[in-house]
Amino acid sequence: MSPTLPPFDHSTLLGRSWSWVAALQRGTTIPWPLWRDDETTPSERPTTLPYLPGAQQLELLRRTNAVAHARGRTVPAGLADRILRAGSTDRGRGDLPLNGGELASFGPPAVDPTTLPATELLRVAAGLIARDLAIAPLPARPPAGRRGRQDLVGDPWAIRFAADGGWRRRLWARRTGAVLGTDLATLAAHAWADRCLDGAGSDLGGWLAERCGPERLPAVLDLAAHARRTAQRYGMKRTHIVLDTGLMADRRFPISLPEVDLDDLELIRRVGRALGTLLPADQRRDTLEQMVLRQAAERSQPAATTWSVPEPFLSLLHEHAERQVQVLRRHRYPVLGQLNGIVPNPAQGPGEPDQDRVLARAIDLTIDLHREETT
Amino acid sequence: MTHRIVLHVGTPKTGTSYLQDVLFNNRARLRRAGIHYPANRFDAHFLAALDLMQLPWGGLEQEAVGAWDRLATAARQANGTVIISHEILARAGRAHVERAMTTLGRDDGAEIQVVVSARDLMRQIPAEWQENVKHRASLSYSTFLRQIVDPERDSRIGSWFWSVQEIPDILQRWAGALPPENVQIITVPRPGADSGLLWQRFTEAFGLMGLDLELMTDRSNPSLGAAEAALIRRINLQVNAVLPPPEYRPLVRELLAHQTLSKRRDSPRLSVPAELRSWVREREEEWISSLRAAGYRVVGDLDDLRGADFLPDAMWSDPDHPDEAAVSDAAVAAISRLLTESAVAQREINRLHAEVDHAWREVERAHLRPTYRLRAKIVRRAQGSRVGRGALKAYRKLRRR
Repeated sequence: MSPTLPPFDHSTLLGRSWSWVAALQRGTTIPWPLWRDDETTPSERPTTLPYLPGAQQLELLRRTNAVAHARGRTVPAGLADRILRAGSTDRGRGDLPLNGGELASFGPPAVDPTTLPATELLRVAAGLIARDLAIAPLPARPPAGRRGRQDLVGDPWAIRFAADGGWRRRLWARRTGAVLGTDLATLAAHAWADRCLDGAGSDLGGWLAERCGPERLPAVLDLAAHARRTAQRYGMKRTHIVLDTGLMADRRFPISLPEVDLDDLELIRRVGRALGTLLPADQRRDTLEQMVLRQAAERSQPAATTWSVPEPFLSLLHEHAERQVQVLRRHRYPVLGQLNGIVPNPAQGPGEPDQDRVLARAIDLTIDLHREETT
Repeated sequence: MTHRIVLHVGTPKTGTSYLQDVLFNNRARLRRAGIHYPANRFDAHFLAALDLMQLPWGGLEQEAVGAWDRLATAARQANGTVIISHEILARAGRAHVERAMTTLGRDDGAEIQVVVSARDLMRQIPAEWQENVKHRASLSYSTFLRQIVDPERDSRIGSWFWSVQEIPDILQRWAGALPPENVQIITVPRPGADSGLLWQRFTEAFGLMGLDLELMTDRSNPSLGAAEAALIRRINLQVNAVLPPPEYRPLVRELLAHQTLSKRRDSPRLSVPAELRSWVREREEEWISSLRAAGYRVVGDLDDLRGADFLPDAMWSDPDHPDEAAVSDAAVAAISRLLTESAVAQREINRLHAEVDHAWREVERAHLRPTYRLRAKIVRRAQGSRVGRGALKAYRKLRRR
């Protein structure tokens, strides 16, 4: 058991820090630079905590308090305690001390927690969410429909949900191959999203930086290569380039992609990384898909953010797409949709996750996971 | 039941791999002496550390699910002294340390000692850059140095480096609540010391003196020269996009870096450039003063943490602008080794192909036997009628019993 500690001196940084901790546990949203002791501040150190939490944990609790208040609620004591005791996951800065007092001789420099980037707070939030998800029961998976006899390659995001959509082939009596595609920017974002659900680690920009160059394209984005391999199996006339999946769907089972955006997928990626040491790969995948993705889709607005990629990759993919259109047109594959649809629309613009929005969603999810406790 | 738990939490590049190898290979002998090293694989404590800190590590974390709790349970159930050792534990934050201490039984009366093995910063800095490069990093040495001297320490490199190297801070995190007599610092001897001295210090710190341990081990972590490190970095720039971590590790890190290039001892070693040496020396002096004042038990000499005399500037080898002839030599050695290994692998592939071909021919011969053909005819006939299919189903069910 942690020893009982003497009351702290409000005049010191340490004393002021502990008084802020106690106030955060009671639900304060006053930021650290504005925190001043007053007569109502308790003088006893919260004995539930064996050490002073880092600036990341403190600021995360403060922002969680703010979100809860906005919803007319308070953060339950148990959740507040867990946030303060949570470790930071993944690579990044260690526990950061609060600024405003004598500089420590060793360790990372002191900080004003309000200046911390969202990414630092997400390292704590993602770990907390992961621990909650790891012990939560999974909802029942909806029954998967039967896939038709048509083999699918190409857009891994569409393929993932096509099987669940249970679409069936309508007309073709013989085996055919279909290359599912879309504009290369969206396709790249889809490929990254699919990896996120499998627990892969790199952020969108990092993933593209490792794989995209003027003469280099990840295999998943090479629709021409997909078509070539499919044609070797089924023949060119039975290799369909599908750029509008609505044209494929049976009326009873349309392919419906979840209405989520890049911010949702970035949160999934971060939680997935934290789940890596908590769950085996298959359970991690199911947890991310059945709990985090589904919740994000239910929460989203009807018109989800357009999927895209940041520059300079948007321009690179534009060039790659134009080359692919030439190749596919030359081989005269049957096309469902418009072949020029592979080229990113200039109006689409670059896109990447916004870490502040990702953090906001992480806090929402943290509160939702403790909905029954929140008062 | 446990009397004492010795937690060795760092730092990297201080002989920890050798220590862990000896401990793992001598578990039975140690157990007879009342010392336990709970591990069912050589990297068990590494995986436990990943689990404790929820730290992704190129996919290896998937093998770490539950590893810390298993290690802590084994430690609590052991009777005697338990040694837990991995250098990345140095990185743990206060929440991780608190979980470690409570799960090891601190609040139930277990005596926990914290041990840190330490080497002078002048050698640690180039060693850490090299370690990054061997783990797929492609950043230049100058970029690395810029990030670690930045007082903000907010880069990925800077934050990691200081979290696993700044000894006073590591001990504050891990041992801040322990009495100083429960904290030990083992210093790595200065260059030129007897090669057995470090091991002697480890045996003293961990209570292994007088034990007949098998010390023969082929797992070492030798350093690369400047040209060799430059080569690995260039390889990383080329292959990171196409070689996933599980394939990179055995080929680049183990085969090229450890088994081939590190054996080239005649190329200049990495070191700290002249313009940074005073700054590094100041840090070393601060640490020595702080550690001396703390009253920890020292196995060795805190003065060992003061880096060796500076190399003349003319001898400094910049891995960002290496001797290209030396890099070329190193590349030829690397290619030669890869070709040799590739030839061995190809011979094995050919042998396996021959085995598979032989097996297929045996299967085909079996299919030509009259008894097989008769059975196949009966099955085909039976499948043509409902009664026949029912009989087949019943027969197969009986066979499975």
